[in-house]
Amino acid sequence: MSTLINRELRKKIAWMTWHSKEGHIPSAYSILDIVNFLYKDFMVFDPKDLESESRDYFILSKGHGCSALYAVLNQYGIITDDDLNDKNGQFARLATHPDSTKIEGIEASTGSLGNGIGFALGIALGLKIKQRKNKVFVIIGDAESNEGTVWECALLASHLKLSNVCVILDNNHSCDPTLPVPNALEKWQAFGWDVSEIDGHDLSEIKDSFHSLNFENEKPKMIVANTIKGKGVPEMEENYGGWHSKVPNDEEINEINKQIDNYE
Amino acid sequence: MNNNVRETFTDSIYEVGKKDKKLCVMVSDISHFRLQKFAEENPGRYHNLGVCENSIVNMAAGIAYTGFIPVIHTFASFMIDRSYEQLKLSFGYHRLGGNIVTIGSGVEYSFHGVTHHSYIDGLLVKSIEHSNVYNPGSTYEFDQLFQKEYNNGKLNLFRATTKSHGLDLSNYKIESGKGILFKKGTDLTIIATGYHLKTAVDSIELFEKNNINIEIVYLPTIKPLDHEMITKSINKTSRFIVMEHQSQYGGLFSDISSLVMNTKNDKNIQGRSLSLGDTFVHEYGSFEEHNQRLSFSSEGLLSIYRKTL
Repeated sequence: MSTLINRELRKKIAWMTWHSKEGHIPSAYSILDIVNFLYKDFMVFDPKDLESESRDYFILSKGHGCSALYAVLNQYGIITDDDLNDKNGQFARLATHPDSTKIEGIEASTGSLGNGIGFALGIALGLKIKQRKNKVFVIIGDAESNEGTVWECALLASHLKLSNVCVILDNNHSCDPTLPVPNALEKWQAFGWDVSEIDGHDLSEIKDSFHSLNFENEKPKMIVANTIKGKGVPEMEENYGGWHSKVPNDEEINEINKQIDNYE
Repeated sequence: MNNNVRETFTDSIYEVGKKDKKLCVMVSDISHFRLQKFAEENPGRYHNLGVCENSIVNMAAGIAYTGFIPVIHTFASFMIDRSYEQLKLSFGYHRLGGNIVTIGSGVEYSFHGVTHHSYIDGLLVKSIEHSNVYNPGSTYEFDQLFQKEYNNGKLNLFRATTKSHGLDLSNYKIESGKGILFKKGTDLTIIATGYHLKTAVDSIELFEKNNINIEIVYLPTIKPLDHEMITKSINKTSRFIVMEHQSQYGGLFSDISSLVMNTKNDKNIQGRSLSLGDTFVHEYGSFEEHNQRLSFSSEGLLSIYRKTL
């Protein structure tokens, strides 16, 4: 088993949820390691030139996990400490779901599941028509995959040969008790995607999978990231349903920080 | 001129697409063959994306985000009624511009049944921030409005009707947000849009026989409304009827009533709605038969005036 990474970012996510009195901590923890890797080590991304024509695009289709994105962008000053302090305030730039009209550097306003992936495919098609080399990365959730639009997009991206798209499935099993979507790898393969499967919290597996992506073939890419909802806080991992949108109290925030520090 | 706009709107798109390389057309498996000339001359900028309207809307917004000007096209019931959330969020929330060209507003496809009717397409698009709604009743109007407005940065709905009013409006200037004072009168303002300019014009004779001098205000644009022309006419006649093949809820009548109520005047103004009411249209038959049955006729208009105004 890999060592827990991004401990300080995890604490920041817990803090912003506690401070703003709303958020989805476990959903953010399951995607955090991949989001941070993409911005830090993989995507063409210049925090000083967010509108750069050569930039890669990141769309968080499962918008409720956005505190992970906020914490990552905070490292580059795109989201300031003042923004985090003000989150969910009346005139704040940040809320429980991301609003791209308020933050330059967030490409899409998401929150209604099943829509970000189509928006991302449109970006990919636009880039393809312009014959640009930019890539489009999208994170969808496994519960989000209950939405029919996800499967419309699975069909469309393959049909349009959108090889510049990489969708990451945050396979955190949040829909297992309700409407599970089993055998994701086989399903996406059947739609004609280039599919790989990783442990979404293991940095070496994350690195290997993204660096192995072949953007030269005609297939859209899918990385099935097996993740844990609430990763880094054993109590949340165990009771991820109870913690889905729970706001920690003063005592719990201290406990969360302690559990993150002590996590193997 | 062929006034079946469903057959001719592709010419307007072709002409704009020749000049503006940002125009990108995405259809949901209708009008495919009519758009082949555009497709052949503009590789990569025409896509028939099959029957997945929700995702077509999302993709169109995404392509707009990269600088293209999308045109999406299919039945109103699928592109608007079914895909309202995508229009609202992917276009409206992101403040992205694009164009929806639909067929089948109201009961235009009368033989197809309720699945292919849309009673609230105008209402739905109107409610989206930064949107315009156009209801041209002829090829000339569609062409004028599309050429002038396709790149206005808003979400535009253009209805491409198969049912033209058949009147020559080429002497009129067609502009977004501007109505046409088609006939001056003193006793009653009839406000018509799209096809129903014909219904209004056809009723002139019957009203004259009954010594009622009607004024006809024609609206190729539903949003933004021509407030000035509408209030001027209604303040003059104090009586108005609004004709529309839409639900009685939230349509043109609501907008105009709201306009009247929010405008200071000393008159006893009264208005009536001739709409599709609050029921679905379960009957079949021709478009013209629907109109007769639902009182969209000279006799129907006169009856409303006599009985209620």
